[in-house]
Amino acid sequence: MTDFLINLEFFKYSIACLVLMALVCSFLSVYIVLKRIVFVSVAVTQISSAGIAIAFIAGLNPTLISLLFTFLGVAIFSIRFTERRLSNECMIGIAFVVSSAASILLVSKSAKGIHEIDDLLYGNILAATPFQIYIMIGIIACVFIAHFLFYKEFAAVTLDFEMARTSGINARFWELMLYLTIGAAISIGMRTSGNLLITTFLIIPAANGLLIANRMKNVFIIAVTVGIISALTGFYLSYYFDLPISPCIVATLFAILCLTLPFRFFKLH
Amino acid sequence: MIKFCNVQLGYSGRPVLNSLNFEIRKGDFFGIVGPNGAGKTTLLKAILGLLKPVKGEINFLNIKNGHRKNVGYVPQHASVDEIFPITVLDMVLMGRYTKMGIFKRPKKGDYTIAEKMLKNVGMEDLAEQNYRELSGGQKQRTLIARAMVGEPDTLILDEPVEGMDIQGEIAIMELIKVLHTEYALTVVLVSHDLNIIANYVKTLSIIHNNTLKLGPVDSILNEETMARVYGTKVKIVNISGQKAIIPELND
Repeated sequence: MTDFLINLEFFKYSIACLVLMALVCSFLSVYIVLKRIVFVSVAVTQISSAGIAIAFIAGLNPTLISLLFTFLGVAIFSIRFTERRLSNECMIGIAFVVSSAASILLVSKSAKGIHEIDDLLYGNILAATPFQIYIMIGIIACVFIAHFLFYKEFAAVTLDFEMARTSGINARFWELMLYLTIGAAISIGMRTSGNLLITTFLIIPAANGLLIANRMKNVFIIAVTVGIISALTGFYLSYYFDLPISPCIVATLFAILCLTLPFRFFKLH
Repeated sequence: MIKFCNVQLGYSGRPVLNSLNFEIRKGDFFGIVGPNGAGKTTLLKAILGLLKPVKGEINFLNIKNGHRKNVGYVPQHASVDEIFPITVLDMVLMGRYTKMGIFKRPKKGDYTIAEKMLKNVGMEDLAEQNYRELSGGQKQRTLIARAMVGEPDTLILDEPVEGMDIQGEIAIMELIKVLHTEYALTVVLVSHDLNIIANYVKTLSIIHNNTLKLGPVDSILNEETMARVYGTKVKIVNISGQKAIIPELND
């Protein structure tokens, strides 16, 4: 532990980046799980990776291209298709596998090859820069302001889309806005955190919150707290055992989820 | 209040209902019935303004900025996702969101209206209960209260007694009847349960052969029409002033 604290100065940007991603993704995970769009978030994360891969090849700004691809992805997924022969789930699956394959094909031709695939999957949190942190703070602030101001609209389209429409709320617009905030969170962290970690932060913290709490406010608090604690614990474990960071955080989140289950059981009985 | 002029409804160019010419008048208690797959939900969506007609015109009163005002919609209680952690009171308050306006949070007046409506539907003691912990009937009452807090002049209900026992069915229908009278509401109700509908609605509309046959309940509800629509013989009997539709079994 002492050794870790001595090296803390070296890790400060990585830890800041992890905490910011845990904060925003854990918060948004509540909407993702409640709206039952877990696979949309998984596919969008993969589309964002494909955007980064294209940016690598074309020598463009990866964050910008990732943002563009992510927004395109969420815009498409927010459309409610009336095609009855294919389910939305099928279209999401197609987007996921095609963008995964595209990412691999694109980076396999680059000079770095396999290392870039690793970066796409697991991120490179240790390479986080102060500039990336400032960009993240700016975008995350916008996401939270939007969610503070438009909680009613986001909650209405998440709980009951048809009711929202019939009551006069522009449900399609607010659903798109909700998806865009999710897309923004995904794309800002993709280069540093990688799609494995982001996908995990977008699912498991909400599961913890929903298992324990009975009020939306408490679900958000538990999800964000679990997300941040797992990020910090996972980072320390990865340092201590000399293991990759993202899988350590995923393992920590899963361990906390497993500890939540008996708590839930005793609460029920 | 709602007028259909030579309307055709359908999806992806495939017509489901044709030649719809009717009007739902202010203060009516309007019931829509029909066999499974006949197009009840399609018609309901059109009445709600969620489905544009393929042909013809639907005229709504009280349109503002492209959105219909003063309509309270009660979906089937099973369609509201139970994983959402929300209290009964907060669920009802959602019906006030449009009235509150953008950027605004519920105020004391909104809570007062929500609490009053919960009392009207007999749910005041369960205001702090989690919605997902309620029974089917209690959920339906909560959704009716949510539709009513928007102070609508039209209440539209989709299968309000779906999945309930007889006692629950009657309780919900009596509640709708009371609200219809007390608030001078126009009620539009879709149900597959003819026995329930026949004893409450004033105007009955039956979907048959891709179109709508409608009129006062006493004139439209006869054995000949029912046999044609449902493809089976039925007996319509009057027991203590109440209509009962009984299918005739073979042998």
